[in-house]
Amino acid sequence: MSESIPSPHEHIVFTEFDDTEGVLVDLNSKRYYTLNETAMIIWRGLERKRTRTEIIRDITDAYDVTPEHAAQSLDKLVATLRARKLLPADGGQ
Amino acid sequence: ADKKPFVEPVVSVPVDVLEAT
Repeated sequence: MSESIPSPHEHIVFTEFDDTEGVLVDLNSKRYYTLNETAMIIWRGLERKRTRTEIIRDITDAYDVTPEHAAQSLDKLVATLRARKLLPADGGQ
Repeated sequence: ADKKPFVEPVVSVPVDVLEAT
């Protein structure tokens, strides 16, 4: 898995309900998705163009989890976001 | 040792905005 993760598409709007739940709205497909607390940390990292290593550190700083486990969870979520076309398939916009 | 227990990150299945409204 490469260090660089693509930033979210411009047409995906993220709204944070509170610290525990957020919503992504795809303005093109007119569909929305909910994110749990951990997924929100990852999405915020993607929006801020943080590297994979930095996002893993964000997760391990906040949660009782090993870097290896956090990395696996990050990669799995990124794959899901790509499958739902919420992230570009490769680096860049 | 104060960190929160880890919960796997989850993105829900898509919901059609028009259906919801």
